[in-house]
Amino acid sequence: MSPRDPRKNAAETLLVKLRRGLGREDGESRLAWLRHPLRILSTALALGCLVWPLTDGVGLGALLVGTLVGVVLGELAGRSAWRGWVVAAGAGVAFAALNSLAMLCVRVEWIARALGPTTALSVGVALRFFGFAALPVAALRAAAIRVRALVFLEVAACIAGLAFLVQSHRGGNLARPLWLGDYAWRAGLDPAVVLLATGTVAFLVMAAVLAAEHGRRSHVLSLLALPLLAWFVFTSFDVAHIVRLPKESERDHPVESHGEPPKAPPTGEKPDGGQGQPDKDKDSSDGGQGQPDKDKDSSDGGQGQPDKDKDPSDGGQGQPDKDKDSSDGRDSPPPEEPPPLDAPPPPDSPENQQPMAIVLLGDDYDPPGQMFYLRQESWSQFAENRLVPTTRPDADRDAPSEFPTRRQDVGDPPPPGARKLIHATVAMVLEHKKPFALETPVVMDVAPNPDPKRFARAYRFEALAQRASFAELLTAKAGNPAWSEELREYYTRPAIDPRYAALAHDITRTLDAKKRVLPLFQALSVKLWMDKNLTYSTRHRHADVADPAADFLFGDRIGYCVHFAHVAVYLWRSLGLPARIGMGYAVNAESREGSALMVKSGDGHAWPELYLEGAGWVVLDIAPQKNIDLPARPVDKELQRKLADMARKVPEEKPKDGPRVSNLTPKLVLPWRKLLLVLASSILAALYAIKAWRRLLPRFARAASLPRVGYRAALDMLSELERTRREGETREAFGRRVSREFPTFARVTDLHIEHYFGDPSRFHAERLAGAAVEWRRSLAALRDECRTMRHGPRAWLGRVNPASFLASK
Amino acid sequence: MNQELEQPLHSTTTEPKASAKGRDLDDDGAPLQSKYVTDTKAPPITDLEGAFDVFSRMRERLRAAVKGRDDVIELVLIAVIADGHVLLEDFPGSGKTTLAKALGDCIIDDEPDDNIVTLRRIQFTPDLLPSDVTGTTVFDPNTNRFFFRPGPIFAHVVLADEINRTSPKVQSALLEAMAEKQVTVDNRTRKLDEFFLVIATQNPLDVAGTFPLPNAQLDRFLFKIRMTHIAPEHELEVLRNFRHLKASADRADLPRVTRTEILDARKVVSESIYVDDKVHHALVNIAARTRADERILQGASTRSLVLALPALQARAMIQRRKFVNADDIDALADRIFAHRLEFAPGIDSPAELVRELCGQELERLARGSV
Repeated sequence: MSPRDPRKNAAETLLVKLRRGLGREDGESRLAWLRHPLRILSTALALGCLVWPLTDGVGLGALLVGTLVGVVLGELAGRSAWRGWVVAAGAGVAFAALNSLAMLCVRVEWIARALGPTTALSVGVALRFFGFAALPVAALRAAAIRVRALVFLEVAACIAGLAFLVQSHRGGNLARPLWLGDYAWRAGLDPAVVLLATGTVAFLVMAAVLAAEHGRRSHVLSLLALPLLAWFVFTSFDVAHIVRLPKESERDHPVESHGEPPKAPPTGEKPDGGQGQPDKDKDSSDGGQGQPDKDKDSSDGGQGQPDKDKDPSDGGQGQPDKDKDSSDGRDSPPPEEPPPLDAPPPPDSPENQQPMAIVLLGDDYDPPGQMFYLRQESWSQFAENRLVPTTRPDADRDAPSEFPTRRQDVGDPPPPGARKLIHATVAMVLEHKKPFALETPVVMDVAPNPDPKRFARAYRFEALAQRASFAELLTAKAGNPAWSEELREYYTRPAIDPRYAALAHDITRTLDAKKRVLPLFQALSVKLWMDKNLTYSTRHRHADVADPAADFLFGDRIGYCVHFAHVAVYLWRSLGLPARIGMGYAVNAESREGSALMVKSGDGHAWPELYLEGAGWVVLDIAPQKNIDLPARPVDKELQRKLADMARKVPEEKPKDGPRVSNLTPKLVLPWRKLLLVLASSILAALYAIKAWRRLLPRFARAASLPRVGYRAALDMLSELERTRREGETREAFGRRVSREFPTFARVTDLHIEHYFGDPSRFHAERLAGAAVEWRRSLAALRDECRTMRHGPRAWLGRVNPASFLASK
Repeated sequence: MNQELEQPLHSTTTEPKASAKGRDLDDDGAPLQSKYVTDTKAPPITDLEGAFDVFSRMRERLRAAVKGRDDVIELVLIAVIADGHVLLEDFPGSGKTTLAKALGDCIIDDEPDDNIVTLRRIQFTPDLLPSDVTGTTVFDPNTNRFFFRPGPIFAHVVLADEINRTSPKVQSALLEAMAEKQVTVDNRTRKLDEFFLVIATQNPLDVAGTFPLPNAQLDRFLFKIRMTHIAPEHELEVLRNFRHLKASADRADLPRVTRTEILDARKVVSESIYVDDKVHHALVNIAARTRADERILQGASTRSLVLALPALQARAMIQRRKFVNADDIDALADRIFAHRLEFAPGIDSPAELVRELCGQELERLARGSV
């Protein structure tokens, strides 16, 4: 006892407490005092991010002061003798008091008049935000000091401020604070980026401070902060591409072709285009806000993508390649939902001549049918009066539904016998929803975009294309013997209308008996009959009838490719031949220019396919002799050559199209997520494995290593129950402390210490063997003691905590 | 015997005849001796059990005399066994003298012919001279020859009261005795006994007109023990039993130990208590940490490490252990090191600082075991 004790008064106690709280404690490192300013700064930044859009300078200043006061109050309250609920209740009452005071300043007339309207408003705001910062911060700080584990709440609050900001930014109304917003816009930044960066810095500083403060001490509850962190990271991933602005160079570049994809929103699928670009919409609504460089965009109104070269008369056609599949193009590219059979066939508009993609063939190949069939999807399943993409998992797996993000094999590869492997690269000029590939693809692979300004994306495929002529396949059997009976029945299911079967048998009756058993002969005879008797026209849509295919075949016999394909498949199926419709693009082999093949949006096509054993799905397209449409325009060879040259270019450096790649984030996030998931689960598994290993090792360890591994296992058991040695505490002292609850641990400690410090010459073999018996017995006893202790959720948490052994030391 | 002991104890300067009388103390002292040492010599101490028995006998006696100071008693006994000296820092009337007296009382001088008594008290004053401590040469007119009259330092236990009150000259005279167990008078060096323990005291507050001990001198003390006021219940006990305690006859029943037993115990402890190399390393590291720390101007000396080893062994022995462990370091480090170090201005709790540095090393030591 120091003689000064009696002289100590309350003020002195307070001073000591304050110094201990805010200054150097127990001679920590000399930078230790920095942690409080850092904590104040980071908390203020995080809270600032939260309220930034809601207030102005006065509010932010009050917030900063509030945080400072909050940390000091929290440190004092945490070290005071007050009970926890008193502190919490005090914070609540003070919060309410400050808020009502703030309200009074504005509402009560005489106060407002005395202060003047502006001052009254400012005082109100200041009080409100002061309270908003000071009291929660103080409460959290006090809680964290009292219960170390509650530090997690502080971090969580920090993260929440940030996540909330991110969340609200998605809504797209982030204009305040105006001075920052204007400044950022002028500097070519999105204010959201500034806020995000601020918040991230705050969070990192906070995490660093907490980590430094608590050293290597880990706690069960700190694990809870991890999911929050992960969630935040994912959220910012999603947001990152939304906040990106088109660069000046990109915006002013004259776009020659229609290939320039929409810039800002990567997700054309979004139902309303405005959602993707909140910043622009906002600008157009309050144009006077001071972003002069954006004003020209606002003339585009609600339309998501200003595609300047687009025909202005064609209203609302921001994305001709997607939204209007069903309405334009001779047989437009297949949309997600199959187009109705009675869809209006479009006029031979310039749209149809738009280049859609450039296919660079890596191998020399001449298709037997003089057409390159680039399949995008297959229709084989009945839906009322037509065929649609299958819903069976085992059928039609040879059409990839998504763009490749890595090299991946395509399901159901065809038998390679009658086919040739073709390597090819596709450079998409327009943004497209699904990839297409020469029938039948076996591998899809990513490819670097050769020129992000011209091409929306690029990918590679390897396809086994048909090599054998039909003459070679004449004797092939129909169907695949590997198919299940049910799948075979699925591919040969005929239409309900009996007239198809009658017609099919009519046609094949003329064949002689020998040829009639050959499937390809049957199919060919149907095709030849159709070639001769049906007329092609894109103008006859067979609209507004219950069954357009039947209306076409048994009506005026004038229709276009979708009708032809349906009729062919129905007729073949009624002959028992497995058939389906291929959907995609068909390009005339004559239009090939060297290795380049230009696919125009007007090349969309549907064709019937037939499965032949040993050859796979074989395209047997109908070529009607009578065509009452205008002849197709010749291919623009010049354009094709130019595009091909550009597509052949290898991108100089990867980072350049970095932002462009981020356009695909919704797709790219997935592997990230999986990767993180795999990483997290493998870490978890490794932790559990280590934990189990450390626990089980004493059962079969050598007698000589038992003092080490056995003691370690004992420490692990105790750390599950949150009994861990303090920093600087000796093992003996820890043993004494814990042996009050776990008497056996005293003996375990003795055994361990004797081996560690004792005379090694005394540890001969038989003594070690004797000790080993005692070790195992003691550990078993300790296990029992721990088990009887194990009650309540904390014990349970300790048991499932994979990292509990990290705390044992 | 007690009566005769009383006299030198209460004289501020040494009484020459007291030491001369040391011889006849035992002549009539025999009947007062305890039943434990009767006619025959006690069997020699050969193992740790015996050493612990010596310790527990002394402890029993000291506990009977001094209430509520079990930790201090333990430390003093560790110093006895570790051959170290003790500096007690305490307020007047807190039992220092009682402790020292009790310690002297429990030791039986079994070599009566060596002119060395069990206990002497020296009250240090500013006018004390070195010869008052060491002894001096006197002319004997009867024989016409000079002979040496030993000073009060020729004792097994020397209570140096208020050591900071005397001049540095006297302090340094004590210094040689403590370090070398010898005194030099008139250029002649005289050996002190092998069992020589100095218990020095000083008042921590009343520092006007004192000569604070320099660090070099403090380094000679194994422990500096700061005694605090004893607990009220112990104080009550002291008041109730005051008369009892005063009558030392009561204590005659309690066991005592002989000088030889203590020396044997020392030997046994230093030989049989194993000190692992890890402990050596830890001590060296602690010293290195004190030297590296900016808050400490002068770090621990090598001598302090040498002194620390027997103390650690002694503590291990009284804990009935056969080896020194981290707990011993933890218990003794601040007692051993704190008073030897020179701290930078503004460090108000040296012991805390030493404990912190020591904690770092103990943490390292503990982590090394798993």
